[in-house]
Amino acid sequence: MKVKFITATVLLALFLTAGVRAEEPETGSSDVLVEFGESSLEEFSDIIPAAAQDIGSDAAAIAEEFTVGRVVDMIVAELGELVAPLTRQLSILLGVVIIMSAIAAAKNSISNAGLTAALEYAALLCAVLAAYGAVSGVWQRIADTLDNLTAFMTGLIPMMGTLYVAGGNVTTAAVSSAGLMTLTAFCEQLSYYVLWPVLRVCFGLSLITGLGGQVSLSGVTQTLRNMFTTTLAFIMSVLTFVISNQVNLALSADNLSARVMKFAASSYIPVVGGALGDAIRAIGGSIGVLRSTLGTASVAVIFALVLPAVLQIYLCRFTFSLTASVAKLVGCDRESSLFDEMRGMLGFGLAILVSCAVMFLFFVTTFSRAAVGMVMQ
Amino acid sequence: MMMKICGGALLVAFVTLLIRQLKPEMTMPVTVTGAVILLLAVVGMLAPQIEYINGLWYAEELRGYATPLVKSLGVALVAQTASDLCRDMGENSAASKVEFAGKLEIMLICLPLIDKLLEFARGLLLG
Repeated sequence: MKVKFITATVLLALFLTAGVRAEEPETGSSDVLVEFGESSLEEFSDIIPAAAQDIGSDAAAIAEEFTVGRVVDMIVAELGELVAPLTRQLSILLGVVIIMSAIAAAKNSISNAGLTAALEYAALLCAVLAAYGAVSGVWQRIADTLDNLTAFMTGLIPMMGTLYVAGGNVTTAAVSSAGLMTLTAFCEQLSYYVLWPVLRVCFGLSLITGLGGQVSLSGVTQTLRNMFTTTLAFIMSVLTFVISNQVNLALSADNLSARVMKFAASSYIPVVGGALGDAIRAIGGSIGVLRSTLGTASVAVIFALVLPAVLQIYLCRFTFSLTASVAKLVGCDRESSLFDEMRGMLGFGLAILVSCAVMFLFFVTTFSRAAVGMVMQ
Repeated sequence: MMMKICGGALLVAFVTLLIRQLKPEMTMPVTVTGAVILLLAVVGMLAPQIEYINGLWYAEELRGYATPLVKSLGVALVAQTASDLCRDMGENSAASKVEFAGKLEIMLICLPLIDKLLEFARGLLLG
């Protein structure tokens, strides 16, 4: 009995005097988060347009530099880059229209109907080629922008998921990652299964309208474009509604879990429970700030990716609009309707691009809002 | 230039009238010669315009479209003149052949454009 008592006393003395200290890691958690924020967007520097390259590649710098003044500067820089090639295109199109009007005037002196028809055919062929030469580059630009956008979002999904998980929002991480993956896949499919097929069909129909003489299929082309645009808007609305509700529900569930955890920690762990709850809130807040920064930077990057293509489409549409007006003015009605067709096709491309960009912006801002919710809890 | 062409046309008309009185069988050759000379003069009028187009800063691209169009116009004018002359001589069959040849020539001139268009369409369809 005596031996047992002595042994117990020695053991207690040993345990009570043993020094206990927390292991200090080589890199603190805040340092890891800062490094994550600084290096997260470097891998996307290849796809960011030249006008936006000088902002920097770290998320914090991009978020800081994303101001109205910077956006205006980007627009001006892009316009400066686009003006020269588009002026060239406009000059070529107007030159072709003027030559066609001269030929239309000269063909009045040719009495033979067959020769006149052959001349008209040659003139229209030139107009078609000039128009497609101008529009093909823009279509390629739209496809490239969609590819870059989906590549960026594919790279962003794991980062966002990691930050959600780090903040304790495991359900939100799973739901938002799944939602964004769905949207990214949808946008990739859009490029391959909608953009190019509709372009091909519209190309064929406008070619028939242009070269077919009496057959006018411009109404069919317009209906086709409207049908696809309406369907696209509907799908986008449904996706937005479903995924945003999913994210909000998951966020609520996560917030509840976090509150329960904090309450349990504060109530059932003696002495350090309250400090642990405060620490969880502090970590959540810092991760929330980081997510807000990454969200803002992502908005800036999406904006920088989409802006050049949108500006190019708008300017190209303006070019075609102007050329169609001039062609109508000089009496080349068929050529004028052809240029109007091209303008309509560009409008369809613009609709697809802007829909995708707005969807991505919506989800990134939802992500940032989730971050704010986390900080506020 | 326009005054010269007008003067030349009046001269041809007077000469034709005189020759019709003096030697009717020579009327047609004189008319044909006059018409060809006038046509050449008219085509010569296009030279400054073509030079102007060549001098434009975007001439390289525009030439690809302008050359076939101007060539087609020239072919149409020549074919029309030749067929008119043939009809004047009472050779309707030859006139229609000339017109057909003119149409074929215009199609031949347009062949590179059609080729370019088909190439573009193929690129678009096959991705």
